[in-house]
Amino acid sequence: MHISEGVLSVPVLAGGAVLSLPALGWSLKRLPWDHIMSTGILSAAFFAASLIHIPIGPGSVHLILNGLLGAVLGTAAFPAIAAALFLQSLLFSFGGPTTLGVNVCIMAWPAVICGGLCRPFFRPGRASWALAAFICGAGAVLLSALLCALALTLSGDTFSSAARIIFLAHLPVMLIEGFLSVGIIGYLRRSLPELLSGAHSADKL
Amino acid sequence: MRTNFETSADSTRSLPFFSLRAMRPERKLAAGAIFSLCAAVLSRPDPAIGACFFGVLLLCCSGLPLRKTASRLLSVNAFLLPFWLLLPPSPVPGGETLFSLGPLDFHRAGFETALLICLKANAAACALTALAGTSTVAENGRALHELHVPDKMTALLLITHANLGLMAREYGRLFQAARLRGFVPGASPAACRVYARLIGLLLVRSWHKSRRVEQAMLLRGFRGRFPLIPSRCSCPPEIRRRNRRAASLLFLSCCFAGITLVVWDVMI
Repeated sequence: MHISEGVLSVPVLAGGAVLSLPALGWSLKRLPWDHIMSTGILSAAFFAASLIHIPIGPGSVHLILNGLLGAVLGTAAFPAIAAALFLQSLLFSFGGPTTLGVNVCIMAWPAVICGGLCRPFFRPGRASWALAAFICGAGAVLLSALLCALALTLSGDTFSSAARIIFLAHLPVMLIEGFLSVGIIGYLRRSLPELLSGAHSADKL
Repeated sequence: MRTNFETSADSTRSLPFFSLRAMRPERKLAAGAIFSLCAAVLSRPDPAIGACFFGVLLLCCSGLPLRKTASRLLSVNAFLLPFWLLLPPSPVPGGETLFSLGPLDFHRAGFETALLICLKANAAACALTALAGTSTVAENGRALHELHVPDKMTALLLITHANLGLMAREYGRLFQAARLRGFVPGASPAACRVYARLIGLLLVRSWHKSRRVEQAMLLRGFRGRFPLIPSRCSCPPEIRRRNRRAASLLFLSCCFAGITLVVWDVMI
């Protein structure tokens, strides 16, 4: 979920940069050098997983997984998402330097908020982990779709119906991500619980 | 799923009079960013056509393979298709209706906005493909370091890119193994469970790999910093000087073109 170059108005582009750059700087400051390698490799795994297309009817949807990224990486999701978006613009020409701020805002804030709120429920012994996992996955996509629609609506009245349709188009992705997050977090709780404990992310330092 | 995550830099042809490939990546990246910024602020179709023309000119000078570049631009335009479909029928108060199709009225303002978006997006995509696409991702990462982007961000970008192909191939292997066991891709609950396990397994493997790499780095004396090796051109000094002059000229041309287009946009 990202917005192409040339779509948004200048105030929205500036607002996106203002909302994302300080958060990016803060999270980079919190991220210790020792964890750069694990953050980089995990963000590569998330990037690869986000390229998976799930066929639905005649079309397909691709995963976003930003809620899960926030749950695993914590605040390091900001630089991880910024790196992934920059790579997308270099490798596939999706997005570019002017929309990087807005796109980081759309993807990373929901990731950090949903991941941070839901992660305490993923600890061993918590009964409500499945509900929290669904909210983490689906809620992050919902918030991202809302922010995307908001950015489009603020760019001009002509975009309001397009924003509504783009938001509605993300509802199936939201449900799929919610159910997938339950499965992935359930698997990680069984096989590698320390990945969900935040021990390697900057949040516990 | 894609497994090739590299720009087309290595297959760039040098034109007899001009080689974008040989120029300093930081100057190209800065020129691309300034031109994209100028293209983003345009609000009228005429300067946007000018920006698109400049972008295509840069692309022609880049010597990038035609087929790959065309497919990249096609995918950029595929992302713009929703705007062509959604903006013209959007109701505009007092807007001029061009034609009606059943219950839908198609407005001139919607078509003009979609055209403007398309021109600006293509101008930025052409310029960035020509400028950033003629350097490898590693060179672009080092260019970010030269442009004073924090070292941690640069290192994270390079590590992510270095492992991206590896992770995509790993997922490809897991997916192939699942298909051999009778997995049918889809959105059914059973298929979602298999996807969740595949992604979970990919994350577990990436975690173990990162532990091994960290331990190997510590064994090799890692002290908390990645030294970024500066890119040095191995060509003779006179060619290096010529490349530097050409890069400066390119940077100035992009800035001049961008500012001229913005002034034109304001003056119309």
